[in-house]
Amino acid sequence: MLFSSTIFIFIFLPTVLLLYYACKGHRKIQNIILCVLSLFFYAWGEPKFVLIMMCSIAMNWFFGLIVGRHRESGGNKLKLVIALDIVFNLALLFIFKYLVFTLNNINSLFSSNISVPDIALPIGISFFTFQAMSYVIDVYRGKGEAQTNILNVALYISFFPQLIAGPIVRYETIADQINNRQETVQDFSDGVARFIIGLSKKVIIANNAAIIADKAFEIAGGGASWFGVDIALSSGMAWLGAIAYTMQIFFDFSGYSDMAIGLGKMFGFHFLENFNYPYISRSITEFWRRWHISLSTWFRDYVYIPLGGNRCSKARNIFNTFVVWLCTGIWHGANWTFIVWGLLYFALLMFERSTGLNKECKNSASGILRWIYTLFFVIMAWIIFRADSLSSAIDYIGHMFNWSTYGMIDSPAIFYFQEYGIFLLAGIVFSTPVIPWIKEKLSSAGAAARTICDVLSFIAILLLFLISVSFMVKGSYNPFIYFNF
Amino acid sequence: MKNRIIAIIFVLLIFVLGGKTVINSAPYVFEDASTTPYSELSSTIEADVTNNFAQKYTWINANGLFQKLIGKRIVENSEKDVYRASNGMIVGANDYIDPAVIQKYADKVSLLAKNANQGCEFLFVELPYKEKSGDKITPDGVDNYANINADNLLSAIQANGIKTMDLREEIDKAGLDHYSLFFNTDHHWKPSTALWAAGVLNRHFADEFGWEYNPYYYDIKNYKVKTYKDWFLGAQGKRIGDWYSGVDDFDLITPKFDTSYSFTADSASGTINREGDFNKVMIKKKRLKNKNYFKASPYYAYIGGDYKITEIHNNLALNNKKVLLISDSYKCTLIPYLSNAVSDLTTIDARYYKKMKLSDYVSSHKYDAIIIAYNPTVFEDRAFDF
Repeated sequence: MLFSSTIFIFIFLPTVLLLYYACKGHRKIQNIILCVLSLFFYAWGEPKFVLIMMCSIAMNWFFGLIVGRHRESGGNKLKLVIALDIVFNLALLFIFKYLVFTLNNINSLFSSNISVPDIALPIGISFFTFQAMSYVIDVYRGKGEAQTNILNVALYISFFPQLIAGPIVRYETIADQINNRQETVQDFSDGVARFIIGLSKKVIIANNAAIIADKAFEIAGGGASWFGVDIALSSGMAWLGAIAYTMQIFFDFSGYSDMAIGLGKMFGFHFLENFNYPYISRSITEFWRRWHISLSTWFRDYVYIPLGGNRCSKARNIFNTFVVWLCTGIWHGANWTFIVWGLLYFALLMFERSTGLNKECKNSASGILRWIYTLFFVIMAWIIFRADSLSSAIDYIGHMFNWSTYGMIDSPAIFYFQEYGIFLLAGIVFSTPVIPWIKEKLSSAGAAARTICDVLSFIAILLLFLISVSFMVKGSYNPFIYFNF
Repeated sequence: MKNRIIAIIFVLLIFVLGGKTVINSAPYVFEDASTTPYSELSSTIEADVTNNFAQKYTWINANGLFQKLIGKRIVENSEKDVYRASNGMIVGANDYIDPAVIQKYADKVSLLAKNANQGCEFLFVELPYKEKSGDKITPDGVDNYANINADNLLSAIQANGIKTMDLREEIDKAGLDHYSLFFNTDHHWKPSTALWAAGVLNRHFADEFGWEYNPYYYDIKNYKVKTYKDWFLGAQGKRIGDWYSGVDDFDLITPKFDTSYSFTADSASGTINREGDFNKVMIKKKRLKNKNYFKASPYYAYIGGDYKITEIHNNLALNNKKVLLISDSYKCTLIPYLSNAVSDLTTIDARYYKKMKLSDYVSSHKYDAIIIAYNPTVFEDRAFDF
């Protein structure tokens, strides 16, 4: 079930809100309601996968109990339990996400004929597996208590707002909130506003940008014609598609995170921020401090630092960084494109460390150059990320720069630029902190300006909701881009 | 405070609209729950909910208004995208058809001609298209091949030795204002255009086949025109809503002279029989009873629907000629006026008529003329499944 669907917003969400707030004052019952409806939410599209999640919940609850009981005594047995938990979670992830990919590659590499099973990828498995691991590790680290009630673990892992597209909520963040959260009118109201903003980012900007991006990649793949006439991807269309995908993935992903954070607030949960205007970054290092923060900090705290972080030899540090970025790539999907995407960032980060580009830039002229450099590589990396294969990615990038062969402008480029350019423009503007900047200026301009600001943002948020609903009811293009995650 | 008001409005909207949507969609959901395969159930229910969403058409209109305000000239639609043309009309665009496919259709036409009885006249008529041939009214980058495909089909049919008539050229020859012949929000021609076309065809019958021709039947002065003001939102307009496209007037054009017909039609719900004058046989007034832009189809006030086969006998005919017309939905407005030209007019929509192969049908029925009349968007196998 997508957040950006009529069935979620107008049937599922009111049902959950009604049942949840009808049981106000009965925390256990409220948690059971959230848990059961979250499992229903997950089971909606593909019921069989809910069994995998329930298996993960049961095993991690069990490991958590053991770790919680023996945490004080410590020792090798406890480490063994932690190791077993990690092996269990990674094995689950490997079987459902990477086994087919691994076997296909073994068969290609060694010309072997190992039979490859047909395994469907459970949606959001990377998100809930990482959350599950976070639970047991955080209990081990003393950052949260083990839950004796399995329903609480189930709620933490399966809570529907962050279930299929994040953010990855660490156990330490909400351990206390599971039983001791406080729902307030202000939180609920802020949550609604945040949900609407996220919804409009997804429905109005990301979905329209997706129309261009998908067409560009379709043409590049040779599977598209333009009004019945076969065409090659022009350089202009290739650039337009690349920029559109850059906008799509940001507004889709950050929109989902906004919706998750907003929904969490409606039920009294507070999740950490997941995006912070990544496209204004002036280095790749800064970009990754602003992009998918819950994932990068997860890898930092659960992989990079345990491996030794930067308190080790230079060679070891490079190795640690390599492992983190290899894992980051693999986490996103079982395809060489994701691995190369991750390793490209490893190479860029190493380059920045060695040249000092990762340091804060105070000179505005060089800041602009650094911003261009950052965005250029981010866009190139998104092409690798979006392409079906490495050869497709190389081919696509070739089209972007070979305008003498493919031409700069053709009918699709003109059409999509003229008809959808406004959505890209909106995407570019709202990729920058222009709204907080305006709010700040108006706030400091006096009470009257603050009132105007409040009235305008009130009208804007309501209009965004109505426009988003109109797109959903009309049945507009509404792709789901996390099927690999 | 601001967010609190937003939250109140949000909660009210999701509960009120959600409740209404549940009531609207429940019958469909229950029906689908028992008939849909388990693997498709969730997507079917989601579609039921969206299709029966509370105030659905107001939302479609709101979306159209938003698209209009931001200056968009394409509105995506799950069935077929539509565009706002440079002259303000709502239009579609058609893909280029491979010449091999065109040749296949031309050969199918020849096959049908060969199966016709000896002495039977055979004519392929290219009906006009909303975008004038040679014009470019779609947005930049949108390449519309409808007229080019039609030109190619006509050439291929002519090369096979079949007589053709191009009503697009006839419009130019008559000096008519091309775009006034079509609805703004629909792909069909207007009833007045169909009346004119029936006259052109009848004159052709006279000039080429030597049949009687009475221009009186095709002079609009001899008809009563009742205009239903702002009554019609065509199929293209329905996709984006009338707040974007505007609406059309709809003319009901009925003869002032005496008429008498007997009529049978094969519809999806069974055989229809009618007897009487033009108003009784050719017009289904209930289609115009209520103005409902999204649910009503006033176009089918003519004849009553897009029937598989209709047989009309004109009791006051000038001649005893029998004509078979194989055509698309343009025929609905053409049939009533063309019926005055002949004694018997049978029309078949090849897309829906599956009782027997049309090549067998024409060899087993005796007609004085067989006319195939398609508009330039009809390039599909079932339309040429002769």
